[in-house]
Amino acid sequence: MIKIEKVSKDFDEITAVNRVSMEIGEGNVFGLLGTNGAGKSTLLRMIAGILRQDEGEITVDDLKIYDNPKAKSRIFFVSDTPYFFANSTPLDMEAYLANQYMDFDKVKFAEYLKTFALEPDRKINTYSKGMKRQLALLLGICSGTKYLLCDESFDGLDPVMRQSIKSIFAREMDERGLTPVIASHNLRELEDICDHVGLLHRGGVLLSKDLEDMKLNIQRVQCVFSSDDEDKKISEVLDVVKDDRSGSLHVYTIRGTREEIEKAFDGVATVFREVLPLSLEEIFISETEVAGYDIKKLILG
Amino acid sequence: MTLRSSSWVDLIENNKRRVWQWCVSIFLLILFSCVVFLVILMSFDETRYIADYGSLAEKMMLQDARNYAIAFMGASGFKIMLTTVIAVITAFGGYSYLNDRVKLDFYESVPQKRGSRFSTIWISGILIYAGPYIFGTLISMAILNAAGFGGVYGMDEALLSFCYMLVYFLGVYHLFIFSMMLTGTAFACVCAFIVLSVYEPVIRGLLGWLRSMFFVYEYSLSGYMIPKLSPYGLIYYILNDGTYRDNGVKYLIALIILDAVLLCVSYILYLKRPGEAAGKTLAFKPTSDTIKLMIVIPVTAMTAAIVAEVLNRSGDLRVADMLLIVLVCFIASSVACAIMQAVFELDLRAALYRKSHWFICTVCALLLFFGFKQDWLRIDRYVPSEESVESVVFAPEGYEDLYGYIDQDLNNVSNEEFYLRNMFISDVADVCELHRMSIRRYDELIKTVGKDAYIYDPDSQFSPATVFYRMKSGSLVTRRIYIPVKDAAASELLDKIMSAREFVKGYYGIYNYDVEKAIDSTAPYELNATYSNGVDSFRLSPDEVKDIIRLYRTDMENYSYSRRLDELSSGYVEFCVGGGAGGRNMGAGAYRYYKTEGIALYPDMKGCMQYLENKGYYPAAVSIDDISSVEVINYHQDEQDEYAKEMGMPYLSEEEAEQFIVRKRYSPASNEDELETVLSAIYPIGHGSYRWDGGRSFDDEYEVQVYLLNRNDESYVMDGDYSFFGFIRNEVPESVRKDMELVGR
Repeated sequence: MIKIEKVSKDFDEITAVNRVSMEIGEGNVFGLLGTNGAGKSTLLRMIAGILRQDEGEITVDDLKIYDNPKAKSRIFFVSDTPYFFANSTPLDMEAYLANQYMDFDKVKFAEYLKTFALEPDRKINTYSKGMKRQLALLLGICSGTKYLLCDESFDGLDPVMRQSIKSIFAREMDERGLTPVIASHNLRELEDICDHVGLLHRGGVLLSKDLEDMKLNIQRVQCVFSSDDEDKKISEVLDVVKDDRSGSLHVYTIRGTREEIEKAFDGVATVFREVLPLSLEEIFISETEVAGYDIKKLILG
Repeated sequence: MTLRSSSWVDLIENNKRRVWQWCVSIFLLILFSCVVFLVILMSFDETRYIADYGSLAEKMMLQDARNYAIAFMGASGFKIMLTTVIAVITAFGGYSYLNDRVKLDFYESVPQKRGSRFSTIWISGILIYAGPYIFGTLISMAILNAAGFGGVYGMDEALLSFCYMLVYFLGVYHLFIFSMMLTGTAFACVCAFIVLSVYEPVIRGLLGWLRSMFFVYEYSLSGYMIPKLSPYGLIYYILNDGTYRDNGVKYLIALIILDAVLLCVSYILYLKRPGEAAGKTLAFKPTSDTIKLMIVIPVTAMTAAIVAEVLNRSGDLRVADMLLIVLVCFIASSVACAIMQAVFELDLRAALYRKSHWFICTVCALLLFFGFKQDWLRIDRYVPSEESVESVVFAPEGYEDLYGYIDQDLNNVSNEEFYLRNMFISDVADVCELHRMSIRRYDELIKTVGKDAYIYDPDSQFSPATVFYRMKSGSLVTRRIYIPVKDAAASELLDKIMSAREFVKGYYGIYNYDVEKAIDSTAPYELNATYSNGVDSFRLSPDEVKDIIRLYRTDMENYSYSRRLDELSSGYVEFCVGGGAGGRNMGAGAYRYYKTEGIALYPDMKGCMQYLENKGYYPAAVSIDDISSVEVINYHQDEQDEYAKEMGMPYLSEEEAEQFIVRKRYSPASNEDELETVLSAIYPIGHGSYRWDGGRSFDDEYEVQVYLLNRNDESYVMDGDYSFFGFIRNEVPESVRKDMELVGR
């Protein structure tokens, strides 16, 4: 588990990360969401041991990360701008990383290169931007580390590639318990990949929740009450996040399980009612609006 | 998860990525050096050597081969240049990833200890230099052997040179790494490296400038500007071991210590360096203030010195001048601080931040400037106490024109170097007393004519001397004093100081060194000598050279300062060390390695004079039969100056001056009696008319040109040659005085 406790990082007068605490559990795909400048990259670079935090503590499987090769050998960091040696080929990069990460799987790497149609002995500087991203991800996956930190690595990948990488993630998670941590400024990039999402804004954590939990714990209800007084009963018994009214039609966003909500509505007289699931986007809108943020401006590109 | 592999594999990996640095090093140290060396050796033309050097041809060729071998294989200026280039390239190539965020993310995220990465890159850089160096040396050695010069340069010498160059390489390498650790961009790094490289000489230059501007008695040794805290300066001292004033080993140790210190500091900074430093001007924010102050204060002080120099009132600045200096200093310090702050923060608006530094720098620079002006530390007139001094060097400047010094290995030695090696005057009290007395007397003159009193010394009362006090603490106090040589008390002290054997041994080179041994052993060089009596000169044979040196030493045993006051030089022996056939004129033709030293001879040197007289080289007095005519000239300089002053001109034009010049030519045909009178009163000026000790001297009102006739085939003199003679002060014949009177003005 990656444990981040009250971690802060300032760059001169700018606070990039402000007392962030979160835990990244094993076997999940963790999405780190946030606008540009929210502190995602800084947090990832601190988790990777590139930057030293000013305050707080970061541990990887209970090992402090900064300048600790033992802890670093459990993490592979894929930067937003992947670096490859000048005039190198994928095989050169493999040779270097195989020396750094002793569990690097050369067989698997060759297999993946073939799958993604990346020529192993072609100069990387002749690759397209997308190909370079793929290669960086593949190198990271094959390094054999437990955690794979991807900083905006999915941005720019076409849907087919995204799906392929997603499949590889699933396979690796299943086979050896890989935990990918994916940072992105776009919720839609993460929606179909992540199990758990942490939302960063202005250096702080707005929320960090399991997606499934979020989906199960918030519902949308459309209803028309028999009389005007009935809606007050709902507000009293349920955690209503939002109530949009259009004529006699109420559209509620309510926290709670479907069963709890159904039960509460059984106690009031309605002409029509329907409980609907929320999309991840809607869940985020609801969750962050409560905190006074307009999520649309923040992460929905 | 398994932990990563060994450092050896890291080293190989690191070197794989530094191919172009290997290429540069191989090109410079193997391809370029060896090819040039080969071409030079192939161009050796034995026939030309025989034509130029005759029987010495083989020796000269071997000597040249050795010199080139030293240049290409040894520790030489050429190797220093290449080493500097490679050190900079390897340091930059190795650690430049720190300035690039993308590379930094990659390298810093892999499971490797920072310390281990530092050492991998560091060792790799050394290999890039040492590998090609050793290989290049072996190839050069093979070339040397193949060319038939196998014995001229040994493997032991090559190994020692490699050690020197490696130590120097490490110095520059670490200095550049240190610069990289302090900065976050390539541009800032190069700037930092340049600043660190030149900082000490610049500060030394500034302090020297301020001293020369405000101090009267301060004296800096000739190597003063050479930095002692930099690999460049230290390698200079090391390679000049034996010809410089200190032992090279001392500087070798100093350079090794400097290497180690720079490495340790760089290593610590590397470990502490924050990842976010990449792309910033300075890697560590707290260093910015210190760096700024360390640069801006000297710059501001230098500005103050420039203003004072422009005002040309360094000695006596008026209130208005001082206000101007303060204002200019403030402007200079503000501009410099603003520029540096903007560069540090890469933001133009930052130019106006931290305005307090403008004032701090101004005040510090002014304190420095006025500190020197007012001599707050009382440096200038400091005379060490006798108890604190171990021994003294007392060097009268121009007491005898010795043409320089040659040491016992026939190498040229600077005057300072010679004195410091050889002069150990233990009678410290007399020197201190003379020092104090000279300051007292000279200060009186300064009050009348200003700081540069020596130039305007109206009656030539003062003569300069440099004094080096070797302090018991190990330091060296150097001063230049102006001695009232005509003062009886000063003369008495001078007699005690300069008649001492310690002075004679440290002032007269040929007296001290056993050069004869070197003459016989240091092939292919020869020691030749010419005796000049002021009219004619004679090349001495090798036996005569040895004889004259032996006799000179014996005569000098009786040397005394006070006795010498009444003597006029009766000739001069110039020694010349060189190789080649030579000729009548020792510096001519194919003569090389020209190094000279001379000795002045005086009538009281009985042994020498008798010997030269027996040989027919002395005396130089010319008879009426040897000359075609004598022209006596009196320029009446005082009258000229007075007239120019009346006319409000600095000096007279050539036409106007002509009316003050009185000439008279005496010839055997027309003025035989008068000519006899003149000839009986003149002496050859020989090697100059200046008299440091204020003793018997020529009357500088008169110039006497003696036109000579060729007397015999052996003589160098040709018909029409003329020689300068002079009248002794107060001994000008009355008839000549009358002839030279200025009439009609």
